[in-house]
Amino acid sequence: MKFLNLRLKINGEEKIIRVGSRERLLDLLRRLGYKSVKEGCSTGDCGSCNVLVDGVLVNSCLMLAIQARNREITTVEGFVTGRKLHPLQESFLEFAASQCGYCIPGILVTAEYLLSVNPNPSEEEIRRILVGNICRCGGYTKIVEAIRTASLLSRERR
Amino acid sequence: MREIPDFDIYIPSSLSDALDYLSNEGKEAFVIAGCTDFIPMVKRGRIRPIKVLDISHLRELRYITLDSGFIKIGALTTISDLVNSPVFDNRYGGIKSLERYFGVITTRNMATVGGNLASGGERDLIQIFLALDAQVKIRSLQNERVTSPTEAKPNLGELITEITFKDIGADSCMEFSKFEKRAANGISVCTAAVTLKISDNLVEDVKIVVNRVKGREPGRLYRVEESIIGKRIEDAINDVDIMVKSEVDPAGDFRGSKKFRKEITKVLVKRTLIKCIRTITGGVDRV
Repeated sequence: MKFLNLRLKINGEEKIIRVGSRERLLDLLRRLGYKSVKEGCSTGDCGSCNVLVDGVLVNSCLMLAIQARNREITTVEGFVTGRKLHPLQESFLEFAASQCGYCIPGILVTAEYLLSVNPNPSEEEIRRILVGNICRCGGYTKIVEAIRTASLLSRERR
Repeated sequence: MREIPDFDIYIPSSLSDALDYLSNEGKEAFVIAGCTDFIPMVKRGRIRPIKVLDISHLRELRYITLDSGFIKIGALTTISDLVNSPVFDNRYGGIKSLERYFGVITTRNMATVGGNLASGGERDLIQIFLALDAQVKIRSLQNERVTSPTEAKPNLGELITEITFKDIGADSCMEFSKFEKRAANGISVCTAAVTLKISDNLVEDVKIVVNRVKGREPGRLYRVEESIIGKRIEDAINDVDIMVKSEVDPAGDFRGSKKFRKEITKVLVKRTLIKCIRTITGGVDRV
């Protein structure tokens, strides 16, 4: 078959969508208006298209949309509750951790994944996971500080 | 980068349905799961699929078990599954090291063991499985065959289903080292995979694998292994680097000349052996 009616959940919202066999998850998400998901290298090197699929960090440029059937996708749009930003977003704002901003949604999703598997990462652990997110502005210092601070704040809240 | 062309995709309900499809209408279909190789190859125009079989959802091929002294790994096990499995304790440092050496986190979460073996090329996993003396099970609708990790390229109508090896047991360790030129998604320049078993301070058994034994072929250094079996562990590593250097005949390329690769390989093998010894002896520095 060349088309499939796909059932999936995006940021908590159930959807049934017709997708083509060659459509990548990245293409589908952008077609549906989730523009935080960016295309960079298209080969899984830059991390701009990172999303969570059933809570697992993946490159949406390397996944066919059809493979997301019956699964739950989370993008940065799903981080916001009402008008309240996610603690990671607050921290990125506070540290002015974004320059041109193109890579930041992918980095936020990576950071959310890191904190879900390791709530108290060291600076080295943050830097190590970020090898899969390329920031051409080179502003990693503030990004690392923002993630570290967000992890400390969320620990204090608990 | 090119557009992804249109193709027909088949989503099987089970492994037997997948094998049935491959032996009938899907004979020349590309099999996909993690897609970490498939999409870049399509985008670069290296392959132009007309039919595709998606087996990514077949849970029956995603497992790691230890039963009666044998470890079995389903072909759809991801690299992250391997790294995080409780089956692999500190004796399997080489498998744990994939967290550092195998791509980035997204690649490890998506790429599968079967896909990595089927893709061929200079893959770290092939060397790790060679050092564990692993066998790869390949199935078609009618047959099942078992082969070495270096020969695990499925023919038309076939699928890799499982990787099996004997648990290395007590007083043993499997380690892996890699020299690469960047921190993420780096392609190996030189690697060494070693499985070592010690008994009464003597080397009881050893398997040494490097990524380029001759030309571009990975393989075991049988003569080096034979020469250190039975030796005291302190003596075993003394001349190992010189022996490794004379045994390997790697092809040079833009990542490293032949001379450079020989030098790095000898150092990596010695370091990896020392890592094994330290793990087995509980970190006691005796070498």
